[in-house]
Amino acid sequence: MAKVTLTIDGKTVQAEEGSTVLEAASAADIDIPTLCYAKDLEPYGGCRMCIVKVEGIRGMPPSCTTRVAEGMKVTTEDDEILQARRMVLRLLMADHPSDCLSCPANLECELQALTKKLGVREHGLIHLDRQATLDESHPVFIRDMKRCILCAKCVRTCNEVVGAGAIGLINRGHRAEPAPFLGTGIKFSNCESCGECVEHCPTGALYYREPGPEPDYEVSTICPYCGTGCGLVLGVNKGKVIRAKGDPDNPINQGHLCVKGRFGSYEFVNHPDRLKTPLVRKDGELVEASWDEALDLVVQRFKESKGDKFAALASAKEPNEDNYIMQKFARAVMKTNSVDHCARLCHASTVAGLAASFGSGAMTNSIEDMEQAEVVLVTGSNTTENHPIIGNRLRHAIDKGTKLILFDPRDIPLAGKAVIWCRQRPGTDVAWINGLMHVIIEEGLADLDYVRERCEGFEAVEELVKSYTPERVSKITGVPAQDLVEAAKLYASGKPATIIYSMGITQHTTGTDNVKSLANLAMLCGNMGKPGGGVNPLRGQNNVQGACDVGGLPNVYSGYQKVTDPAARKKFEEAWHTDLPAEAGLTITEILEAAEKGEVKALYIMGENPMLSDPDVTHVEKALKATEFLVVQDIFLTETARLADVVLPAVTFAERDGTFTNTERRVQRLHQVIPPLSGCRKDWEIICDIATRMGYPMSYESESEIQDEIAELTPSYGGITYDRLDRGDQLAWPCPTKDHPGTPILHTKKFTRGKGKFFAIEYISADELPDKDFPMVLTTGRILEHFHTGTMTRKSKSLHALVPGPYVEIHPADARHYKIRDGEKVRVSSRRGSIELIAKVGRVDRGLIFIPFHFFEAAANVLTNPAVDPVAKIPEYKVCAARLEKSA
Amino acid sequence: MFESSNSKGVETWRKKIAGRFESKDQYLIPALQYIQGQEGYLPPEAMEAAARHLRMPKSKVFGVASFYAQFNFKPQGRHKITICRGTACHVRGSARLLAKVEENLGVHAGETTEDMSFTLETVACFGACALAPVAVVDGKVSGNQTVSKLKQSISDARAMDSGKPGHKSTVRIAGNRASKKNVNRQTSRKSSGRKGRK
Ligand code: SF4
Ligand code: SF4
Ligand code: SF4
Ligand code: FES
Ligand code: FES
Repeated sequence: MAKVTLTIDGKTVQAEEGSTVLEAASAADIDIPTLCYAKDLEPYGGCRMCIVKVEGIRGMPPSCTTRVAEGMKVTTEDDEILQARRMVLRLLMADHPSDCLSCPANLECELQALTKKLGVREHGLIHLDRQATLDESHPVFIRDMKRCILCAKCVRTCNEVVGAGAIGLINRGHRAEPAPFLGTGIKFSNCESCGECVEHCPTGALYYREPGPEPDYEVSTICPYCGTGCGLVLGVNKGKVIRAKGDPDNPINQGHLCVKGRFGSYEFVNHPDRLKTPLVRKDGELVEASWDEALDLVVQRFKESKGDKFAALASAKEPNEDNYIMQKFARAVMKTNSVDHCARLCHASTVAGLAASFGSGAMTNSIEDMEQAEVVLVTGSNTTENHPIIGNRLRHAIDKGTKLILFDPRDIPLAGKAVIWCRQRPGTDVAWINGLMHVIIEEGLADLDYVRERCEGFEAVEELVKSYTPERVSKITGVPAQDLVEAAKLYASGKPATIIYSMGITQHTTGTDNVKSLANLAMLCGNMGKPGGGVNPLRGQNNVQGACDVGGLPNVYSGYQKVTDPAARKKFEEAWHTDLPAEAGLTITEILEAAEKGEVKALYIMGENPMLSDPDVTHVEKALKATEFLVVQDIFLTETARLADVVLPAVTFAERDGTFTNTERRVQRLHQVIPPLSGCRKDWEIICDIATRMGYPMSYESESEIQDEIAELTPSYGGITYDRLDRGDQLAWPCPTKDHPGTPILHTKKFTRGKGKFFAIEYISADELPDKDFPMVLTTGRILEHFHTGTMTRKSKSLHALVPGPYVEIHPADARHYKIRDGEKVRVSSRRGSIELIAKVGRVDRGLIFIPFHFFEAAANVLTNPAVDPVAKIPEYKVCAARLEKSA
Repeated sequence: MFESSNSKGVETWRKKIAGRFESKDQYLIPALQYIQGQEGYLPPEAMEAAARHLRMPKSKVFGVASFYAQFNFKPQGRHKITICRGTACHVRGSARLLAKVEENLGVHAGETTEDMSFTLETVACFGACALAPVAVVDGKVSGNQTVSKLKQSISDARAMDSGKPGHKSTVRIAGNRASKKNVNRQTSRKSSGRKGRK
């Protein structure tokens, strides 16, 4: 960008064209006071604190909204300016309470600081206390509007940064204040509880109920929840983690956080329920034991169960290093490839589908890149709740002009932003995607040059989709034909257009088909390998991408090198100095079946909780109970750990170094924030100890050394080292060499597999459809305030206060039909079981019910159907038949 | 936390609004005027529908609507009485006038009678100070008001209604139910001015 030269207070200053006088001054270390300015918000010009004089311009313009110009002469301070600023402060003080000493923002308040700095003691005007709202509805923060100075930072943050739009400025004059829709308590609004408004408020008008002490020191690390991978800065006081802030240097979240990151990321770390000593089952009871005693027992029993009698579950929550060590242990020490983890349950169909279509089963473009798309098609992803910071950036892009097409049966927050919103029947995705392709081809909107040049197999698809006319597809999916046509045209008009999807696409018996269909659609419009294009599966867990990358799967070593490929096997045998099994191992669902039959005798589970996360949990419980020897390594006594023979206490993400690979394939560095709690050990250290005691010495100095071994054996991670990450390199794999910059966009020149492959796919219905006895369709998923099986989030006080327990969403018309009122207790049953929970009326489509799966007391997975996708073996969490009734 | 909404009401309104206005920011105020023209006030589900159609946050719709005095958030009575409380009118006895009308109707200023027949309001100045005290009944401005003149207007209006209750009032009563929730919600907020900080 071009530079302009101006003078500020006699100093010659260079500034970027288009920047503001305020920015230019602050870059030159000239301080101008502000109240309504914030770096991450659009200029507002509301408070007039930042006024300056500009030669040739009458009056005193606000520097935060005045753009720099060549030759401009600016004075930032003289008597007149100071007088005017003092007047601004006096007017603000005139209706502001004068009890600073009892204000929660005392000593942190920007208004207070400025009155002191500019020497305003008394306002000297008639004092008028504002009759303003005190909103104490929210469990985490309080809105005391009599301390509000109407800078609108909260409103602008909520709209511009978060995109929730939960608050606006209401009324006018003396009664004006920021408030939610209808002026209700914020808890009853669409507020997402992210706390960004509280962070931005310059006064004590917005404050946390429990602000906590000042930290002694802060360390930056990575959020342990979703695959977005936001940077956190954790504050420590007296050895305890006491607060989280967004890391402004992280390119994903740029200093912002969602509710889980802000409150849930640390509140569980020092929770009193943390496991602090190993437990061993004696006479049916889990009793405390020493590390030696517990490990000796583990070693003895593992020695008896080598080969197919052993299986391990790695973990999508754990860093790459630990997952790598776990799969190495299973393969090299226990001589089995039966190691899997919950990625099977969320994106196995993505890995299978995208690998078949493109040659690589991951997000093709970066998160930042999404903002360049003209059109975004979102399906099966409740982005703002499950990947909130990605959701926020998506909303931001939409506000800047990106058009959103949404296919989702539920009235999710994104629906309000969509140009076209289609509510397909669950389980009919292949049909509508074929329908869109039908229209695009009919209307001549396909990018046939691209298809001819870069892809293969198109003819079969062209033939197949001929019969998927909008009318037919409308009958299958329930989406009006006209909407299908418009959605198809809009998607095809986007140059480029991107596709974002998640578990709503993958968790079906047709999951792999669904994924391949989306790949077809993207290739048809030539959207692959371009900035702002692509097919982007949002991965659920913080490190589900990494756990797959480093080989936590039964058929591949790290970097997706096949265990059945003799060359790959030889490479790992040489590196690990041992012989390795040649057949692929069992998947998670197969492991549990084998355990139930007594074929798997010893099961080693690290940081996973299949008792809540797997379908048909009654069955899972049976399988785990039937397992002769169950070892669970975790931070809390989870529902799964309660069934174990040995429980080993591990550390949390805050007590260690490591790396997570986020959903866009970017490897990020965890930093140890506090030392391991006494009695707890790092997962990889425990595994290495067991291996060594079993006669296969495994020892590493640090996580960094493990990463070096991963890099050596994994071509796509070849250039990734702790040194580079610590230097701030943003490395998305493939990153084969130490000087490679990483690959934010895949398939640019050609597809990983060479040509992109089209698959002609017929629609088949879901495995279990509603009938007379079970007339409703049940779908399951996550919600904003909780994560996965709730092991961490339900230990967080704030998140628990926000959503304390399980509920089921019901359409208003169904609620009327079953005579169920909002908040009433209901019973939901399927062929596999039955649970009781609270009804929430709204949001879902008619005939559909939705249950979040986080809650053990009403586990949604008691109900779900364990039928799996034939290729990826992913269970059908998103559709099963259910019955709804009022609780007796 | 998501809030449940009356999606049927929202959907009906959304269709009505979408049939009349393009999905562009500039149609917010016309859409609000249309809703108020239909209903006499802005029902929450209609504002939500406007937000949906215009793809803007509903907090913004409410923010804009609450900025203008012309919009009502509660159902209005069939008749509207506005009494001026400006300085000139005050000097000439508008306080007593208001008190007597409040007594007669059994409501305070800003409220609507239970049978939905009258809404009583006040205004800061009509700009007709020469005629003080001023009141407006159903759009008709009249000066030099007295208690008995106003009482007469009220009974005239009642007489006019008694002939034909019918359709219009049922619509309003249905609206009233919806709004009561809303009223409760608003009054359940605490005013920090009175209660102070805890
Ligand atoms: S609540 Fe705080 S951030 Fe919001 S307008 Fe008032 S002073 Fe500004
Ligand atoms: S907490 Fe977040 S979503 Fe709620 S009002 Fe504040 S900024 Fe908006
Ligand atoms: S968006 Fe995901 S990674 Fe970011 S703070 Fe929230 S839970 Fe953590
Ligand atoms: S900071 Fe510039 S007007 Fe408020
Ligand atoms: S004061 Fe009543 S009309 Fe002006």
